Amino acid sequence: MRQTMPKKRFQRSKPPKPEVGRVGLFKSKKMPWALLKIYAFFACSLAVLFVVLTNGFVATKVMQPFTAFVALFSSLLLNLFGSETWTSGTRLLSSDYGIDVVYGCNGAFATAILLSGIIAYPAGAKAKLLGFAMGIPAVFLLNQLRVTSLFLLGRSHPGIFDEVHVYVWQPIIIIFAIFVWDFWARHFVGKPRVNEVHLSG
Amino acid sequence: MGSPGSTRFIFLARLLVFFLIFYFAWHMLTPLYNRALAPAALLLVKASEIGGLHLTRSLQPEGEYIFVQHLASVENPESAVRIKTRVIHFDLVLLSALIWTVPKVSRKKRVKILLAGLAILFPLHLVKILLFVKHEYSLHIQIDGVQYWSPFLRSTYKYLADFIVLIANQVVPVVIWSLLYVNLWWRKSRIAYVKS
Repeated sequence: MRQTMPKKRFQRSKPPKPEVGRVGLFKSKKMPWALLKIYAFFACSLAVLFVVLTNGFVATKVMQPFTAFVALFSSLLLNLFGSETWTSGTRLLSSDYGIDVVYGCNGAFATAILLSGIIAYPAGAKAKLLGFAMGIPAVFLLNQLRVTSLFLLGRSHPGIFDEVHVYVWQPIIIIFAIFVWDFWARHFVGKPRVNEVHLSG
Repeated sequence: MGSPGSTRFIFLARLLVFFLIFYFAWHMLTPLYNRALAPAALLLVKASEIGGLHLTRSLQPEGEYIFVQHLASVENPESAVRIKTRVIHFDLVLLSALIWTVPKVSRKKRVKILLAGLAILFPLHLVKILLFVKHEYSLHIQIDGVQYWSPFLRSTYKYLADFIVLIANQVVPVVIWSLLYVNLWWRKSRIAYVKS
């Protein structure tokens, strides 16, 4: 005779769900507000920066001298490599060619896009300030390269100046801004803290 | 799996290749796309004139331009508003290239994401055309020598047109791309979480 032991009811042991952690994001069936909030925050920051940059006072007292400085810096760069250029306000000139560095070409709006990304990303104030300190000069330098190369291109191949100006350099600037932002997020912020935003939001 | 640096370098290289492919494809497809854009934009522009001044007569696509014929241009064809549409829908190139650059996504999924992106961009292009038309009207059209639009409206249209050219054209494709892929990533991760 075999002795039978009463069967123990099999109980599935559920792993405790962490209250704080990435998985917390997936409790909801819809995409969490925390992620969308980052985009909304980005859009708001960008709108505010655009309003500030196009404000009459900022445009004349800050952006105009800054644009002239961009032209001057480009002229110095070009002269360093053997060209003979000079500036007159925002115009970059040589004996046979000249361009006017207009308001939208001084890199301020590309910087605004990058700064909005940094502002919207969930990170500490110190990390954000580091992002500003790194991002602003990075975009400025790339923009100098843009102005300088466009001047050289316009002088040698004026026919394709507009094409490269609008359809090549603009995507390059935005992709560069994304890469700077990505570099900052990986090296200065660490892992994304979306879960914390989710809990607090 | 490579280091983050090399992964990003590969991403950049792929992006460059796809950007060039879509750039040349876009050059060829621009007149075709304009033919789809013009009638839909005409409906929107005309709808915006209900209850106001009925100015717009037609929107005619010609190559990379859309010519807006209005009340004044009937007598003086040279005063038709000329919209360089490549400025309006250049974001298609960046969006398509970005969508195609992301690795480890099936072709079917990629096509779905691309179609979703196009479905979002098309109405945005219509809105851009509407804004450019309004901006041009507010600058150049006068009735009996008097500006029809108030200074506030004129500056608003200028403001929005500047925003499109300086910010939106670059940011919108990137935002749409990231939203579509974040959504895909989130849905995949949620399925994995629910299964576990």
